[in-house]
Amino acid sequence: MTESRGVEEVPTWDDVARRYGRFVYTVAYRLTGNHEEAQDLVQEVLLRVNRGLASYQPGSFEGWLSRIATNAFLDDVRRKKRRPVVALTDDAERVLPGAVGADETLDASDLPDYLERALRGLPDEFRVAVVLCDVVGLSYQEISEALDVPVGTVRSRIHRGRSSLRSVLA
Amino acid sequence: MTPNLPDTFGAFDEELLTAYLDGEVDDDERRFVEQLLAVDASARALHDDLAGVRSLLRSLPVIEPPFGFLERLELDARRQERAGLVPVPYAVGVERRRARGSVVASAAATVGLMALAIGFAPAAEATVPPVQSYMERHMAMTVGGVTAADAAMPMASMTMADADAHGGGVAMTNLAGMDRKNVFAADDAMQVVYTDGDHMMSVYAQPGTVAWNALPPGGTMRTVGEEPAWEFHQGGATLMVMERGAEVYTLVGAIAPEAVMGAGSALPETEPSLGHRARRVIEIVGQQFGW
Repeated sequence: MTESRGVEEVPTWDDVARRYGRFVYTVAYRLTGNHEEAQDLVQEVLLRVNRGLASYQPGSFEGWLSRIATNAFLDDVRRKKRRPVVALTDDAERVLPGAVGADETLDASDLPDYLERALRGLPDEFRVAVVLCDVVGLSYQEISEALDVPVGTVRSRIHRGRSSLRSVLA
Repeated sequence: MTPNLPDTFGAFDEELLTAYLDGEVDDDERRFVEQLLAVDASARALHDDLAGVRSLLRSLPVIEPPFGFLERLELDARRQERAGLVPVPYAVGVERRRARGSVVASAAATVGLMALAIGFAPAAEATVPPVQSYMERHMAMTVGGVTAADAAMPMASMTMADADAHGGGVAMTNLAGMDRKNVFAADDAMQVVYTDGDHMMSVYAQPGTVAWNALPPGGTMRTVGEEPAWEFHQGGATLMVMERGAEVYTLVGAIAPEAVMGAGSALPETEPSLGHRARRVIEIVGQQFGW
């Protein structure tokens, strides 16, 4: 069930959860790092989609959804910073895992889990940039617009984010 | 901006390698990086490491939402849209959303939520499950035989923890000896398919109460445990409508009525919501005063 706007099919809101639910959930999970917050974020995204669908301009629908998810996530991060009630450092899952020791080997099958933990441990601003680039596939320019920061800042955040992950995985 | 060329390779901008990997460099920068990689082993090693991290990130798997989460959202949204309501999120996260905004806004929201819970919540409506549609939907799944249907149906990613979090009885991983296979949004209900390898059964769940008198002709009322149930047979299949707590369940399967009854009696009763109970109170009071 879609509404046609020129060459692009714009899904109705009813379609969004069904057709893009898993995509939005994946982005939400990568941004938040846990299922509980991802579920809250997905619901917030769908609310915002409901409000914004009428004004959606044809383009990349997934990109549009990702920007909404990112903005919702960043709004939540800002809110939490204003009222820090949870000591994040107590949450072991959010702590960047240490680098693998010289006498340790990282089994290939462990790599995705290890990378996921490392990604969760990145500072928000690096993780968001990396997720938008590598999970969503946005260009630097699109990320720059989504985050309202210069392209050079996007490049720097992605590089620093990946470099941190590299040092953890090394 | 043209980067410095090879004689200053010793102090290059490492971010350029990341941008190069992402195709986010101009022609001059690309030429610079390619010349650098040709002569500088440390730059090459860094490039390869960053490329490896980038590749790993891009191959991370899609995350499956907890069992039934998206289907619940879809159903809630449909019901609320049909009732002319803006979808309202329910908090799931560790840190629950707190009321924000002015006292006036809070009061207005409270009034709105009360109205939603008591007067307009579709969840509290007496409902007539679309039994024919449920029956046909289930039977269509088993065309070609249960084994083929079982094999063709993708196994949903589900855990007991997910089931506990999402869903009362209908999300049980095992029901009367049948294993949970998958979940779908069907009409106004969540459809959970169970199988024992030889048989399949669908359990449709929707919030509300049953409008018993409005069920179509051809069925018979009976009792499961101490609860009323409505049984209907068609084409070798048994369908049973039950009300358990705040949920209406419709069970369908080409199996013996006793097996359907057994499954129905195994569904735990869900706690009625505040809106459900409030509506019940209003119904009872209304009946007393002839409203």
